[in-house]
Amino acid sequence: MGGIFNTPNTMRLLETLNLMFQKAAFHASAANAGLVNDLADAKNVPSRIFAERYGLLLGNATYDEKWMRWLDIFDSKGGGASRKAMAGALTSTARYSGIEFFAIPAKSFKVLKTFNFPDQETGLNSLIVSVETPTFDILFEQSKKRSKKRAARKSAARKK
Amino acid sequence: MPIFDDIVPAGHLWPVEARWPINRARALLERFRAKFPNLRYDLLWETRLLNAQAFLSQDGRCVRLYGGLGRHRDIGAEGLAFALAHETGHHLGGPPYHPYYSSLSSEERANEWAAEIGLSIVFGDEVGSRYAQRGLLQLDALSKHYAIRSAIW
Repeated sequence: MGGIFNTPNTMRLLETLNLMFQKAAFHASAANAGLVNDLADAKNVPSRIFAERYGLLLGNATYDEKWMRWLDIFDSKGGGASRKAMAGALTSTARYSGIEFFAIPAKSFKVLKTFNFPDQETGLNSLIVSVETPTFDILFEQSKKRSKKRAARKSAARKK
Repeated sequence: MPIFDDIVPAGHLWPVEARWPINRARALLERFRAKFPNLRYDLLWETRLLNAQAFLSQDGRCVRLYGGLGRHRDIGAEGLAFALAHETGHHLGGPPYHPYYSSLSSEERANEWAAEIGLSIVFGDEVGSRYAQRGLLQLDALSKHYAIRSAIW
């Protein structure tokens, strides 16, 4: 994260995620076998179900709907591998002390490969989970361009 | 997470195609790259997202400037420089660390590092100190205008 401006919903979502996966809560989450299993089982427990089951919600219908849609895309873009890595970190508390999430605004949606980063305070590792996410204005522009192309193709076909 | 961050109205920004704002941003990024070659600096110019960000990727420690901030009509070079120094401070500021990210310095430390160390390294003591004061005011004004919780205090 580390953004210079942070909206209240951004902060609340971060707090929610961190309550479950950051240092202070890491051992408690690791001890919850149901949570770890559900996290690893992306096939049977889609991320939106996981979020609902474990209270990873904002409590605001509009933003939760956006969050759910984001999680659906996360799943469709291979987020399962990140979830498996997260579950792996939770079952290796001798090596990991936390999980850190970065949502990086970008031109397209891409779940990046997770990696370890040395935690400067504990001497263990943090698992870094990063997802490149297009902003709404970029998505809108892309969809406008696609519509224009479609319309141009249709019009060219009609002329033929 | 930035998926919920506000997008600035297009009228508040210089157009994507305008040359001087992107030249200004590129020149600033180049100055930071020259002084902090271990960090990766880049731009996502098309977006109207009013932000800059420090993050970790497999390429290492990165700083990204977004178009909503870089193209904003009310931001000067000082404000952009402060934002870039603040993000650099997240990577290089040391303790205390961010409550959610053990890999990043806290917001307060990033600001301190930007004002006391980072801007001086990039621009020299005199200009750096002027940029620290003016930059902070510019960013503060933007955060007030959009009622965004700013990392700046």
